[in-house]
Amino acid sequence: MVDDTGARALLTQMWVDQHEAVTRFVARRVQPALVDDVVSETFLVAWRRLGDVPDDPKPWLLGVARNVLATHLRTHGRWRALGVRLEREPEPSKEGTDDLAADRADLRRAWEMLSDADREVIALVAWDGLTTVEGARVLGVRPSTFSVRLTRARKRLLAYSGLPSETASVLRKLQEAR
Amino acid sequence: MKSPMMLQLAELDPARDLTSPGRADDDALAAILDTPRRATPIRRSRRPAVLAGAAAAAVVAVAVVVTVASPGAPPAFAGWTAVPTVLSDAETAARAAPCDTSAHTITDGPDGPQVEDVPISPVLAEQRGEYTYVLLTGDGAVGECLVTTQASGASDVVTGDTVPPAGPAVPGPRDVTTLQAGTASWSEGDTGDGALTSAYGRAGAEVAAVELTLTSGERVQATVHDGWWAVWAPGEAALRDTAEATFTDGTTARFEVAEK
Repeated sequence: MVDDTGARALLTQMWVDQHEAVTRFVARRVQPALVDDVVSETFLVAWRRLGDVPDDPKPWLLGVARNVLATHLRTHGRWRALGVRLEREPEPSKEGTDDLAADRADLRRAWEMLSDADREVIALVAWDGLTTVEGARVLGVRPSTFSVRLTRARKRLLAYSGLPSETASVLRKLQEAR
Repeated sequence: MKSPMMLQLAELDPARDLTSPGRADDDALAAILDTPRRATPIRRSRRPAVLAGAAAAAVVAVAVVVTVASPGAPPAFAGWTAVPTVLSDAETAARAAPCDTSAHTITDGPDGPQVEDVPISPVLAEQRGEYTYVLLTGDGAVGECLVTTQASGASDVVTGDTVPPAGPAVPGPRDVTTLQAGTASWSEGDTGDGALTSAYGRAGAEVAAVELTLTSGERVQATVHDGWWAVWAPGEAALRDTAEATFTDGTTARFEVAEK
């Protein structure tokens, strides 16, 4: 059992070290107005369960944030919003017409075709900068399971981004019809 | 090692420009540190009968706050009136604009929870003081929405939706059925904590009026409109469970406000 002064110091350190990572994680998943509430609630859970927080708190905190989000969104009746969002579509004029821009557009389109589950594993690695082991901890699955999901998700992303857009949209419709 | 694709993907991160360093003197941190470390449950008010009744498709029906923009919203239901102003269909449509237009069913699937949207539209709206209550229905689903209008024109919106286990069957001419009755509470948004008690259901063609009683003893008039009735009152468990219906021929009958 951590004494009170120690507990305050621990949580304060955790807040200083991890606030940004948790905020980003949450900001990708809900509208801006809800971000601060979800972040606070996440650290509140950490405060009440300080004894459960592992030495590397980040994956644990993100896992808690994910649960807090799920609870929030379920109660908000907007579960669907849990899916990781992508950067807002830039205006065509700003996107430019060079190859890089075209690649980005392909990638964006491919990303949008992925299932929420695929997006989530990829985002944990590409955006949250987690390792497979850490990502697995966030989702509460075994690292081997996470690896398999990540590999499949990346394959799908790669496949979708290489397709001409008409084929891609046909594929997407097929998926939706499943 | 990150692949080029992963690196490219990093550029699409919606939060990549977001900076939010944790400061030791942050008020939000101070607020957390001020709470007792022994857990006090976060209140999640559900309507027990609904949760109990919907075993297969766990239907979630909790009131939530979607704050549209309302600094300094009133904490209590000042100005609530026991007799509502029933709104015309045109007014109903206008007042219901900020309400959700779909209810959601959540069922557990192999890949996690599956959400299905059920479109709903307003069937009844009533006003009590600065509060507009809207009942919305569609294909077995029902939504409730409470809009509080501020003097500034901003509004707070509280919504909940559900798929009642019984489903809104068409009532007989003198039938009054209850689809849901109970407390809905919330603890989010600028409005802070809040709770109300509501009840609604179907009303037959010969039902002219429905009157309930608050736990305080005060009589409260429900709105009856287009085959539906609904009522709400401030606070938790604010309604007694017997009510009186008045029919178009002037006769009355008592009925239980209980979910079937």
